[in-house]
Amino acid sequence: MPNVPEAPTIRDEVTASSKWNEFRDAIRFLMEPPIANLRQNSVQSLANATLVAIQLNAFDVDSDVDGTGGHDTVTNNTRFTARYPGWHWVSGGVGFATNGNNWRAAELAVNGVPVNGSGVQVSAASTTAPTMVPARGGNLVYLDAGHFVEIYGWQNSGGALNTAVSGVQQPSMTIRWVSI
Amino acid sequence: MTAPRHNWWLIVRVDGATHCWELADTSDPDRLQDTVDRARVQVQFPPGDDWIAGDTRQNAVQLTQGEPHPSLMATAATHQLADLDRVTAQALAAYRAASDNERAAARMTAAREAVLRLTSEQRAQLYGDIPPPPRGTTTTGGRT
Repeated sequence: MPNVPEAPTIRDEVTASSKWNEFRDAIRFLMEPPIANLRQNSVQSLANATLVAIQLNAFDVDSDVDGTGGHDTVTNNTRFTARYPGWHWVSGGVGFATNGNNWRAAELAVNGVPVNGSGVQVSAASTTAPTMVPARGGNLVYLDAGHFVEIYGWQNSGGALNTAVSGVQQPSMTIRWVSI
Repeated sequence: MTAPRHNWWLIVRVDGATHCWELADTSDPDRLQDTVDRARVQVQFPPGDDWIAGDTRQNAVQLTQGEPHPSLMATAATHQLADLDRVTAQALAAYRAASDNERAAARMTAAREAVLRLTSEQRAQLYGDIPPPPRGTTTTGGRT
């Protein structure tokens, strides 16, 4: 995993090109920090009364300074895996198919462990329309290189319930690296 | 959805312990629900819905794709899927009945709380005008 580039400490004139390159790398990292906007556009069945990691098989952006990104749309596609260690701003939500029974919830998890304070639970919105539930917005989570964050959906309609994947209803997760 | 290259894993946290099972096939929702319920019985997960309970025990039943992170696996007990076949049909039925009761109680509580939040005008709209009690009677069990 690459390191987060940091500006060098200067004690004299900056003449060596390597020092200027270190400045360049640090600035470039800040201009192109790891960011991802991941979505689901193919239906997933969610078991009853179970936190289910949401598969994110589509993305709008998944990028960092060396263009690699932290997500794979096929293999373990529930995960955003950090390449650069640091605090990440994470948000997202889950769309549930139309069903008026009981409750819906969404929350974040790091390495499979739920993030305290990230959950939202609401009653099903309607018997005639999907229910969209956000995880609490703007969670800051610390990820070491190789650690991963996921968004989970939960429902207790009484049986398996599909996600809602039409347009704005799509489940999604947004990640932005913000600080070492 | 594109078939994942890695299996799904079931993680159950209960009373401070973490249990894991690697699932072979999750394509049948009914069979998957059966597996999840059997796991809950095997590790004595409290009946009802962990999210609704709103407790502080951090109990959770999760499904995640791919082998969980090494930090989780280091502290988790990994079980064989075949072990869940030892959960008897009677134990499974009793657990599901207890869960249904818990959910029904949660629904009743939520409905009662929703009614209590209504204004008197909203209650009148829902249930019709309730005439005031006749003069000389009370609604407080006879005490004035």
